[in-house]
Amino acid sequence: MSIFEYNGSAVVAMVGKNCFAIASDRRLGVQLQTIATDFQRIFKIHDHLFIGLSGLATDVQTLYQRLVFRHKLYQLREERDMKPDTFASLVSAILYEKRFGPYLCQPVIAGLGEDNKPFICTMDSIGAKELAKDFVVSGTASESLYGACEAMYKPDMEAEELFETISQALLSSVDRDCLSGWGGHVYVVTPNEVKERILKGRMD
Amino acid sequence: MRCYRHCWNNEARGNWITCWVGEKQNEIWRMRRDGEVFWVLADEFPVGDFVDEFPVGDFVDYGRRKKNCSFLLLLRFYFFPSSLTLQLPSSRKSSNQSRVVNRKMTQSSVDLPPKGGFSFDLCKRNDMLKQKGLKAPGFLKTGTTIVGLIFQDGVILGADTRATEGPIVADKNCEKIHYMAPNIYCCGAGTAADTEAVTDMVSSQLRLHRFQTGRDSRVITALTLLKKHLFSYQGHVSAALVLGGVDITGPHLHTIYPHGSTDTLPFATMGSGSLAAMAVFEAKYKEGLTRDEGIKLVAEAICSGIFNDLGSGSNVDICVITKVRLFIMV
Repeated sequence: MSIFEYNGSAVVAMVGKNCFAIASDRRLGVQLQTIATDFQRIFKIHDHLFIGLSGLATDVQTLYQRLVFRHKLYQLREERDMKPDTFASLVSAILYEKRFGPYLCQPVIAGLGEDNKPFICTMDSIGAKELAKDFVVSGTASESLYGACEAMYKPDMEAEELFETISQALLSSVDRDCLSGWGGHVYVVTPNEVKERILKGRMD
Repeated sequence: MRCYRHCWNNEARGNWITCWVGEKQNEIWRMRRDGEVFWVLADEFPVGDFVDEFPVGDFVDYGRRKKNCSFLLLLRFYFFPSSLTLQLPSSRKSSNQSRVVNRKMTQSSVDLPPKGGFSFDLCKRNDMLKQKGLKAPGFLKTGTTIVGLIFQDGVILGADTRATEGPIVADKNCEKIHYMAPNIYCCGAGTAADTEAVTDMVSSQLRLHRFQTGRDSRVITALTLLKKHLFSYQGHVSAALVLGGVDITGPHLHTIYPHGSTDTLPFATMGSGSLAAMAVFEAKYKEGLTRDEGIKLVAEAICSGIFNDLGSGSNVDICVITKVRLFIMV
């Protein structure tokens, strides 16, 4: 069994028209036993920047704490929030630093950059950035997520339609994966507001 | 006092920016990679200071240069070669008045960004997990076909755009031709994080070198910096590169293998699709190709890799470097 399949996870982010959505499943397991059904994988860095972390749960939490720390230092020094592409470079550098003993996580970063242009990217566990214009996926359900997103995605969706699309893609993919599921956690972010919704899915 | 210092890479990429004291006392400026200029408490820095590379987020304290400081640093470089931020020897003796800024971490137990270079603290834990039967993750590889050839006016580099994670295509349009200097570009195959990190790092070293010498970078400089780094990691930094550029001595094309060996060739291919592409080159290459003939040949070689090798696919990126101008076609 791979180390990524120890806890199980599914994270996806999609780009819409001046908005983005990021979603994850909620299960935390120890191999085949479920121990929590409300595990948080998506974290807010600032109002227009979210990071979702899939992989080993302990590294998810440690990495999140480190990144929040670095961002707070940045805010103190620069007196403003970090831009999403800068933050992606920061995460990439932190992960590459541990090239020969990596954090066992794959981050998905989503944010609104200048002029409220949505930015998404994902990385492997040693920080190789992959920028995308449409969607990015990560986690144990990533293969079915690739398929579902390719089929359901269309460019320039508004916030409500984007929410429907990303939720359908997430729920149908986690239904095909034993290690992730138990509902979904979706954030849809527009320049003016952040809507957080919990999805109820199959509880198996 | 504390000052935040970075190291500058190039116009638009990388985590690194530089700052240095200007001609007049109290004039300090620093420029971040998107051109934004920051104010720094300038009163306490003397004229002519030159600072070394530090990774983003580093805290440094200004201090006086200790005797034999450069010797100590050389010692550290040789005994702890895992420092990723190699400091060019010339930067140590930049001017008579230059003083080395001493790095001082805060005394607290908070996790501040360490000096640079790799950190190995999770290795023991990962080994323990491996022993318990949990396999290590795969990294993003760039399956890849990368090629280069020398034509009559310069160098043409080509690459496909597929990035794979095992059997899955992770990125359908990734960039494998990396910027090193305005006249030097480098294609990378192997582990994606390694090729990006190594080319970014050498690119920033070249930029600093250009500031120091006041001249355009030479391809052989980039070659030596890359091979030294790769050799010192004995092939564990898995980056196979095709480096090409035009400098004052003419057009050059080199290949660099992950263990640090290099070749100088008139035409070269690397990556999983290299055999397919090399077949095309061996059949059709001749000296003194014109620009259009060269582009056509490179495109054909990459397409051969795309169709015949499963690890390469998607689109063809081509980069033409000549003495006068630089064209990038995607």
